Amino acid sequence: MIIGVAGTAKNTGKTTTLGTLIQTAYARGHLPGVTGIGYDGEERDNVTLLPKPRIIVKPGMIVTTSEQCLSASTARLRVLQHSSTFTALGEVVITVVEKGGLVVVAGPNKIADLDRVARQMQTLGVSELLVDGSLNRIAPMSVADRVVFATGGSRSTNIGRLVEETLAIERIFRFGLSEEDYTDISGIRLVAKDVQVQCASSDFHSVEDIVLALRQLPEGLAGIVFPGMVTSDGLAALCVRLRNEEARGIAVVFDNPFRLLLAGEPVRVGGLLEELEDLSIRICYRHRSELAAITFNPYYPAFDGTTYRAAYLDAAFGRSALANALSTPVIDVVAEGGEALYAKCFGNLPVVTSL
Amino acid sequence: MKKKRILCVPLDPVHDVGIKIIRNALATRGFDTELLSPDLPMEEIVRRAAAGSYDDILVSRTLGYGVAELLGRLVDLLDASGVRDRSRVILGGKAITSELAAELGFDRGFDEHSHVEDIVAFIEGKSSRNHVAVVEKKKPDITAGYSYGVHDRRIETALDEIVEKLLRWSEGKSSPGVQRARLRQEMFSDASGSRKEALLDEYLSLSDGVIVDAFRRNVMPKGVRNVSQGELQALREMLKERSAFRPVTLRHSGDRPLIFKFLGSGCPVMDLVHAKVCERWGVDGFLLINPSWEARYEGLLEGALTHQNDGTVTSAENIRLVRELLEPSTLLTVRAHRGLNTPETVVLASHGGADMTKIDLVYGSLGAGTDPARLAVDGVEAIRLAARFKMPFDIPGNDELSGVPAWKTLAGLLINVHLGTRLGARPILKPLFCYGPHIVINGLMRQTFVDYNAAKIRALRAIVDCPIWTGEPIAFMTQTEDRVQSAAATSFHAALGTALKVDAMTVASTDEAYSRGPICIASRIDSLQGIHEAARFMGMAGFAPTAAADSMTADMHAKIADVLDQVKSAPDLPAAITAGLLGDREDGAYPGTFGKGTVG
Repeated sequence: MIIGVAGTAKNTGKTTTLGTLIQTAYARGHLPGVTGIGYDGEERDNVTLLPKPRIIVKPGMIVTTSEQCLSASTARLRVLQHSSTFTALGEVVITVVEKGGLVVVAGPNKIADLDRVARQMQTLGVSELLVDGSLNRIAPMSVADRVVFATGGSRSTNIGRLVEETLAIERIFRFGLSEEDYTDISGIRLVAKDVQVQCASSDFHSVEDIVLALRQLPEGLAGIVFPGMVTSDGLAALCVRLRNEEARGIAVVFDNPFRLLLAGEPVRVGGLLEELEDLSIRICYRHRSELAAITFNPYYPAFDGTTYRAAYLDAAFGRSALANALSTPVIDVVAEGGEALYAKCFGNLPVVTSL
Repeated sequence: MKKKRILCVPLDPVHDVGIKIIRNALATRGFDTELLSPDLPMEEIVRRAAAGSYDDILVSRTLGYGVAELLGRLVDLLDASGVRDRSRVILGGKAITSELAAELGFDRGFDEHSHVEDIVAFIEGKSSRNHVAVVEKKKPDITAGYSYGVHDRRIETALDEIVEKLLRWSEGKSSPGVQRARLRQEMFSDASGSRKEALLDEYLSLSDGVIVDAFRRNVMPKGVRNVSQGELQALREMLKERSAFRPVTLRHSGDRPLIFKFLGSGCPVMDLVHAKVCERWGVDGFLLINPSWEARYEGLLEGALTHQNDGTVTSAENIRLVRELLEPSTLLTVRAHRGLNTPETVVLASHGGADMTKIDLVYGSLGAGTDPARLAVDGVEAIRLAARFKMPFDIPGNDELSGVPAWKTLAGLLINVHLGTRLGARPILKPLFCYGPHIVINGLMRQTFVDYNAAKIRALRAIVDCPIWTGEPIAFMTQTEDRVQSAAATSFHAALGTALKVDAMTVASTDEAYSRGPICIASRIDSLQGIHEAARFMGMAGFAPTAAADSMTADMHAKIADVLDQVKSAPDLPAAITAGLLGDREDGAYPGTFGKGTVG
């Protein structure tokens, strides 16, 4: 099981969420593996220079870091494998924690590399793998089975806007897997009962590509597959075209929810998807990750034009506003601890007492 | 071989100069480059990146509020569009660090201090580490290439005679300082227990009570204590964390002048913290300056010692600590001529690994308080030691600050140079760039600061082929409490020194003249930044001294010759100094009294 901890922005609480999951797993007798899609665990934020939460690991855990970050950890780490994956801080190394302490987690920064490193860690016996997010980055999280989204004051100090955006994120994750297997295709594909039309073959579907493809809609259209990246403008063009067609009941297949999240502002993307649904179009994915939970962090770095200082939203109000609007659990891990979050991520894995 | 294709992406409509420079540099190196306009929407950038088949995508953006998220989104879009499977994505801009690049998901980050060569090396796959193009500074030799030949026959004759008389006078003479220097050498070379103890007994019999107390009763002079093991450990740990050495280049071109700064906070740990910052700002060397009280005592302390007031205690351990933790290319010189421990300081400096020392028989007797006869004996021995240890020594002309006219001071420097050359050492002339009392009183710089300073350098060059290191520090007595004024004054003098092609210069921090205590690192950087800007502004251009500089030079040269003729006529150098031939009471110079009656 791979759990991604993603965020809507920097400082939304990814590290705290990750730390809570680690501590909860350990308390239950489990040793989760930890990797990341960037760099985390440093003492101060690289942009705001404000203090950051640190990542504490326990003996026996398998974590990735980079060659340059090995000495920055107070935990004693023994290198198990060199991953042959490189980042701006050197090669990613897979290590086992020999003595617990603070660790700087560095990991592969792109989808293909994260997929490879996750497999390497699983081969080394990691069954619960936590993937630490980085800033607002989400693309590599498509490797995860489930994802926790951290949001809060750092994304927006306007709670109404936060609720609206998080609802849109939830909507994007709501769609299911395609019944058909389109795993091996690339480029936009138009699927009819007896014919399949292959259009542009790039992994980036521009507005022009989409418009061009939609001019070739075959008789008896059953589905349109977008295996690559679509932008919100592309989605808008799709809506316009399908509005004028008898598209009721067809399937529009996207690659995964993360690619749709990247299509543009989630609220706009969510609105366009709703418009497609209103046309009785079935939206589904080639690959799917579940949205396990939302964590809410009232903290935000307030900027006065020169320096940053720590500031906070009304925690109880923010959390309840989100919880009332969403069907996904909303958790303040600092106030509530990690049990509920852990259960949403890993289900009810048994407590092990031999650690 | 197929040309690498590079896409250059300025994400900042204002700050796209850097990426244009890099693009041009890459193009001239044969890369196939394409530069996008800086106002494209992100989706269009991704479309272009996906449509082309680029090996590397260079993204330029200055870090600012909300920019991290913008960059994170770009990386994600490139990843989700399959671009990252075939292209590396590199980020460059102000305040970009490797850590931030990693956090944002870029393959590499370069900041505003990165060189184009760093980026080219990365693109060509020649390195896998950031900041690989580390400047490999080599330790320079200031004295290399100089013959020490005297061009002026009259002056050469005078110097020959002065030096001959001095050596004859000093022959067979000794002092407690000379004896201690010999004992120290033996103590360093002879490690056996009982012999070492006997040597120490003898050493302490030649030392003052305050030194004996420190050795025998562990009672240190007031304000002095041992640096603790914990403090040393913390210092080493801190310095261990440093990344690759990559100093600012203070000079615009060439390898001269070298820039020196003083160290002498009293604490070697603080000295090193200052020194490490200054090294990064391009400083080439340091002068370790001892406390004034040390000059008055016979004998030197032992151990890594910290002193709560100005002046770092002279000990082999302190020197070794500083030397060990400086970059190998950084020069270290230790002041020896001040007081009663001149030859012994040279021994400790050599043993501690210092590169150079500082000896001036004339200034040490006139401005620094040592009895002329004592310093003559000690100085001759110290220069012999410097020659044996192959340590160049510099000769500061700071007696000018007492009010001594420049020509008398320069005559004193030349005596030291000639003596050093005769004894096989490598001396360095250190005339002042200053607004000294004699200059002020006589209005010699009323028109400009350029002419008189230039005249000193020109006169010395007309007399002898010897390295020149202006000191000490440059702009002495032109600086005020105002940091901007102080940095500006230092910068202008540095520019003048550069234009005059001097070999080195010592520069003060902007709070040095008025700090009334320890100076701060920020003030050290003030003057270095000023020098950096001055060097950039001047480039290969020079100053044009007025016609007055020519007559000043000629006058200076003639007066130096006259002074040396007078000294030649004196029985010996100590007698000449005592008689005021190289600076008298009217000038403001008084022969020193430390160690009077100790020459035997």
